[in-house]
Amino acid sequence: MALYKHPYEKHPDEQLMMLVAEKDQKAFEVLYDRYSRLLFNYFHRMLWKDRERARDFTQELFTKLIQKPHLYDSSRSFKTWIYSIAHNMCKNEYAKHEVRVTAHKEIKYEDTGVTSSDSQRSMDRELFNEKLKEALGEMDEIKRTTFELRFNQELSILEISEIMQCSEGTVKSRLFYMLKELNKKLKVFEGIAVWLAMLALQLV
Amino acid sequence: MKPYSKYDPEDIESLLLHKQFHELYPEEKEFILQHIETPEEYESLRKTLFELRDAAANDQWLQPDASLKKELMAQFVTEEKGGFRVWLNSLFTWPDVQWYRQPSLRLAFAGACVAALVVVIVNLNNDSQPVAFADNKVQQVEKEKNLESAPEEKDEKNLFAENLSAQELPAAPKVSTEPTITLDMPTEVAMNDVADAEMAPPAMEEKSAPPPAVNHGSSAGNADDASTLKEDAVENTSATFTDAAKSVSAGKVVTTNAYKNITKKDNAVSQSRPVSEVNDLLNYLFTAQ
Repeated sequence: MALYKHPYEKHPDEQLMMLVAEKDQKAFEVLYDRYSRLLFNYFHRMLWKDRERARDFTQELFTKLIQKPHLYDSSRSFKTWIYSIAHNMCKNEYAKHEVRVTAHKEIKYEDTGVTSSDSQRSMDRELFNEKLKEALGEMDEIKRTTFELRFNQELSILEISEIMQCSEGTVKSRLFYMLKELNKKLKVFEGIAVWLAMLALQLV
Repeated sequence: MKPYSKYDPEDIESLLLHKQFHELYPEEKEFILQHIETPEEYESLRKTLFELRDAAANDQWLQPDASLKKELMAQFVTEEKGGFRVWLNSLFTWPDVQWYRQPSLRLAFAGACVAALVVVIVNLNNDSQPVAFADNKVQQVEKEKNLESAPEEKDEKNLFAENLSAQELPAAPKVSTEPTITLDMPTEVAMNDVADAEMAPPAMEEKSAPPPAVNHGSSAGNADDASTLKEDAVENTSATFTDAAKSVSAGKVVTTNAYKNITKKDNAVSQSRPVSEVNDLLNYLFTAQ
């Protein structure tokens, strides 16, 4: 761990972005360190677990930051702004390729290989994650984005509403109905999990 | 009036996260049961919510490549060196009034400004033609030269005038009433040599002897020369006609010598005097004689 921290690391994002607009390289580096991992994983989850695509999108996003820093409105939250750009990039990608369903199927086939686990709990965890991915894959892009921003990126309702350009109530409502939908789908999983557990016990 | 209007459907998430069903207040239970059918479903939803959070928290986080950061930093440096940029959106934004905010108007205004600029530049180029400017320059240089040489010329003229005034004009020769010999010779020689007809001996002396020292540039010297000429002229009047024919050729010499003397005087005044002025001087002197 570095003993010396650059003063920029204490600066808020908005101030750093203003410095980036003034071609401050260190400010850009600090912003990159703060957001590159978050955005890379966001793209990775939203774009069909494609690592290369996630890398390209992350690079494209930060390139926009370099080339058009004047587009940032300093009255807005930087975090909200950059996630808005990422969200729009994903939307454009969906519209461009129109392969969402196909891609989801590919993901399904790619990820079904993970099964074995030593303990029943870990097997349940793996199965739950598997089922969750499958259920999320069947949802539309808006619900998946809401889920990703809320549970993985851990953004607030207000931030999500700004990113997705809707009211806070709409975001909460989407989350609630998404939760109900997932609950229904994962209840089936509970039955399967119980059945698998019984089968495992019988085999032992 | 709805009794539990402070709860919205979207607030169920916070209730699910923080309270079990039996922990809910009666009004909260009533609100929850409007959206969730049974308490079992509430507990099921609550469990699913926690599992989702756990799943998200335990999800593997990927790290972007280190090369990505290098590429972006290099790109930033390149962009930084890109130099000055002008964004078209920031151009011609004044005045900030509603009707002027249309991009077409701003574009038109920008075009008008550019056109006006071009017209001004073209007019400026026409006004200041290079050739005329060069001529003016040459004229100016000549004027400067004239200004520099003007005082010298003025001094020369003054000096020349002084010399002329210093020379006492010889008295009009007393031309004898005796008949003269008319020689068939050019008019110029005749004019010169009528007076110089008997000047052969002194002319020869003058020719053999070194010329008297001329005080160049001094009026005293000029006066001496003038007196010499006067004496010569007086002597010439007393010359006999017999010798006139002999001295025709010698007269030429005398005349040449006299011309040389005058030329010396003239050179004493100015080395760069034009020949026409010298001729004028000679004419003046001999006319006076």
